[in-house]
Amino acid sequence: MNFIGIQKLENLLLVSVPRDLIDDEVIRLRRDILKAIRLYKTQIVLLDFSQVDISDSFFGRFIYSTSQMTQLMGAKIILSGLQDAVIETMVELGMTLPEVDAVLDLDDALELSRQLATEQQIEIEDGADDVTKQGKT
Amino acid sequence: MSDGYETKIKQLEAAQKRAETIAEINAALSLIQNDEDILEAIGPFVEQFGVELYSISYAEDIQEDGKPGTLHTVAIRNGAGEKIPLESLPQVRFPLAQFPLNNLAFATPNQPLFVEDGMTDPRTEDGDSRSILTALGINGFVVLPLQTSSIARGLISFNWSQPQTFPQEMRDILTAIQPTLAAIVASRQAQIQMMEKDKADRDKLEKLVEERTAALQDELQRSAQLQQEVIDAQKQALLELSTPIIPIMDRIIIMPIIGTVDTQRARDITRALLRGISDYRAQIVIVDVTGVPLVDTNVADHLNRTIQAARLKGAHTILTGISDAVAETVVDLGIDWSDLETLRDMQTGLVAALRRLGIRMVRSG
Repeated sequence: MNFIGIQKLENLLLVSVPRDLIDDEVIRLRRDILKAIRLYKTQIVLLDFSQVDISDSFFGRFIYSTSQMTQLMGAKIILSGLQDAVIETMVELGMTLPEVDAVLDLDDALELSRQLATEQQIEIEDGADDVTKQGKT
Repeated sequence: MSDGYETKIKQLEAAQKRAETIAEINAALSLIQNDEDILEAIGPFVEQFGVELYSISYAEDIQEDGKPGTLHTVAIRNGAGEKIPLESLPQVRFPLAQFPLNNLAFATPNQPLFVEDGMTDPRTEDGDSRSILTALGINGFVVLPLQTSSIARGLISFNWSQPQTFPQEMRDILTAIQPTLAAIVASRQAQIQMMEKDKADRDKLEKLVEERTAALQDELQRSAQLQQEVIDAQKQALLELSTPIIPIMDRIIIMPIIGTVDTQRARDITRALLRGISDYRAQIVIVDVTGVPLVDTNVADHLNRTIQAARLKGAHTILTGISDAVAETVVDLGIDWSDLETLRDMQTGLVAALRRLGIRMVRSG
């Protein structure tokens, strides 16, 4: 399946949000992201906004709703490259997304995703340990 | 003998009367103010011969040979001496090509043209002169061409609807006043020309004044703009001074806030901070509020927004410099800063930042 602007990279889903999206395209992009998460069983979604230089309330809602939906599907979301003007609009609208990680650029985003992956691995290993322990007892 | 004597006396009386009439007309002509006055001056004399329409026209489009191309009627009266408004005429400009009769008048410009019966006079045989006369309802007419220094100045015409017999007295007097009329019209035209030139000069002067005024206003506007630019530049400089960003270590920046924080200032601070985070790739921002004298709900709200914006940019904010007085007001006002990392001074803030980045400082030796 081919999604425009969405790429799978190891356990990451890399979404580079294009500039000048019209409202319909925003909705389609959100659906594509959710489809891709299910298809690739992705654990971390990386939304890169470095190309987006203006934002309206609809776009702000898009960021907010996408993060909520992604979390509902059990994936972690990382926002990267939000530009100053976009941030100002979002803060004005009160969309501060407290549960979402935001980073400066793709470098930081990859570093954070690796960190998150290690944490998850540790969790799984811990869990496996528990299972073996349980098996032993 | 006695007959001859009486005839002589009559002739003398007639000559005296003629001289008096000419003197009267000349006296009236010497007082003229406008075109109407010229008709006024000769009116009483010609009206006694039952003239039905008389008018004065000026020559326009003077040709190379000094003859007029067009005649422009400037005043017209009826037999009772009443002024006829020019607006009521079908036309006031008559090209000579269309009215060959006027050409006839300028063929002998130094003497009046007397036509007693336009329908039988041999001089009106040319072209369609007679049909024009019929159309205008003119039969007998006199035209006084006015010409000085071989240049046509205009003409005065007198019209009758019926054939006339012009008495010798009238012919003599009209012939006698023709040069005077020509001179008066010529001087009047010169006067009009001069007035027009004066007006043109005045207009030119006014235009010059206007241009200079506009240029001065432009200059004024430009200088005002320049002043505004200087003010803006200073404002910008002041803004940068009031929102300094200090990169203290790799990926850590410090932003001390000094003075009161209002809405505009808060926006400037947010923008400066966001740019600083990009510029220095900061992960930790230490916002120091030691220099903020008063923290109320507004200031707290502004600071919250700034911190949220920084978080969306991927930077964690540590708020330092909370004095005991500020801590007291914040709690008294019910402001919830529990999810913020707040510390008392910058040293502790820096230590917290280093710990967060996993950097440990070791004293050597």
